[in-house]
Amino acid sequence: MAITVHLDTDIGDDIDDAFCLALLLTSPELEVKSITTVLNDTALRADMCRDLCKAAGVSPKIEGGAKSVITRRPVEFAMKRQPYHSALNRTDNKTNVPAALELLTEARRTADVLLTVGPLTNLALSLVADPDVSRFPRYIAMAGEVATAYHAEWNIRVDTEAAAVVCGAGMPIDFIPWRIGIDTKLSQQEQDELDNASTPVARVLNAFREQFRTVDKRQEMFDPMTVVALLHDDWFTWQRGHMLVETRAEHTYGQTVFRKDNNGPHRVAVAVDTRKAKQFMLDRLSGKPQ
Amino acid sequence: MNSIPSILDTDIGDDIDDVFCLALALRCPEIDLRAVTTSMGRTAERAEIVRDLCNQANRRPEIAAGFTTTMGSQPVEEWLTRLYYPFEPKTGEFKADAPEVLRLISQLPAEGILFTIGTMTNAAAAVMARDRSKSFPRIIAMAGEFQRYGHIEFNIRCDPEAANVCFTSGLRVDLIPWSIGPATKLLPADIAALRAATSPLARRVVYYLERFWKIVPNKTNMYDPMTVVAALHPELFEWKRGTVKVELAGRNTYGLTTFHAHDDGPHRIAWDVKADEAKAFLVQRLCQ
Repeated sequence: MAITVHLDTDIGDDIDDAFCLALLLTSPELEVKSITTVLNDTALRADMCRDLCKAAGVSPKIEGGAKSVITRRPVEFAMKRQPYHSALNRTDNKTNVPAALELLTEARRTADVLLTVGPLTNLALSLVADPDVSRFPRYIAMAGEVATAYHAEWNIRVDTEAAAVVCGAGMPIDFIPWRIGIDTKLSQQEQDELDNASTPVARVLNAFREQFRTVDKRQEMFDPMTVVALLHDDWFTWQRGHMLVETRAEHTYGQTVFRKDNNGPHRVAVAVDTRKAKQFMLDRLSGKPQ
Repeated sequence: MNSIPSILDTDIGDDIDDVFCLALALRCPEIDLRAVTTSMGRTAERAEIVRDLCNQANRRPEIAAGFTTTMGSQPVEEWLTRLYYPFEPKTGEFKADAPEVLRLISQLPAEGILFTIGTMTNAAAAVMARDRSKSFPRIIAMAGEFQRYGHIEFNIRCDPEAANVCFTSGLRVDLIPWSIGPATKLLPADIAALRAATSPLARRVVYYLERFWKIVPNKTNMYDPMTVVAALHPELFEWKRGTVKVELAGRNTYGLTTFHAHDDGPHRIAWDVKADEAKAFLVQRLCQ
């Protein structure tokens, strides 16, 4: 039986969210049961998810979640950012935060796995509404940074208060930090390889990539590494401890501090076999038999 | 070349690199070492080590013991009471005399250098007490870290408030960050060369090194001496100009330093060092 997954994503910003969902949809071990989107025009982001799901021939529940953030520090840099790519087909679905939180609540009760690859606003709201984490899916988050000096990672920085709620909630969390994405950046050859992929999901992904390329050149694979980590834990080197989020600071607000502790609830990926991880992802996206 | 009027402010007695730094300053004719001041906790006892090393070099700079406490808002009792290699037997020559430290620093001319290689408490007090109608000397500080994730450097961590006073003063500060220390770690061949040196000062450095190694074995990271090397050979370092800030509000990051690069910033940080050349200069001078 397939492993059921809920994805919470800010797809439409950096291109790696689209890679993440496409990889989920092309992984036969996994079944995407539900998706929530976060930050700004979440209805548009939800439509982008529908494009990819339709190409995969599946129709999970999808809801547009929180448009704004919990933190009261200025985050105009995130709130004013225009999407880097758009949906191929727009629907009449509107942002519906209560419905998104219901989806998350249901996923917390029934899904096998929760992946968050955007700011943590939706999950924080869900945890504030119901702090009971005695039953929680296996949870992997692309968030934080533990190797680069004073780097406040985007998903944390955009809603630091939400990240603090999530990190302090008590359930086990596996973190894919920023550095893993940098280490798994696609080479030009790897991008060319993907350009030639012709599966239905790859075609939608490539349409997004083409839009993205007109505004940004980055090819760091932050978000899809959550899926790779789910399926190939042993390709990553993990450290166990406590991920702390700095919420009081003046100059270091939004930075993560990792305290090693063999009994801590969190694991953070400090290294990855980049060759295996990238090849696995590219083969899946290209529809190559494995 | 005129020698540079200088004061060295040190927490000697802690890590061994202060001994190397003071010895180097005493060995450099380009440095006119007018005073040595001590900071952090047992400053009177630290001053006795300073006197001892100066005696070995047959030099007589003014020596004053500075503030015994810090300006910081977090307890640092463990570090205030720590002294790895006190001068034995105690002389009792010094008493903590912070006003004397401030007087000595106030007399340092504007073209001089204030080297701070310990917690910046004395320097901060001097900055606050300065005569604003006159230029303050340049500060070269071993302080901060800007490349290693989450590393709150010791000299800042012991007194972040003092460091903040110095960095927000608008005064020129050059920083040797933590990462320069491991990069310039002395190797067994360097130590062997030092052991072979016959000068009383070199022998005294080895004596303190061996006492230090009984508590912290084999540590030879040369953080502090690089301030003096940087003063005399700035071309051995890759510098970045900008603004250094100290985090004072963080629950988890209190004392962390950040750096924003810009061309008209008051601060320069040493981003990299030609380690072999910098170490060769240090060892050569100490072995003379």
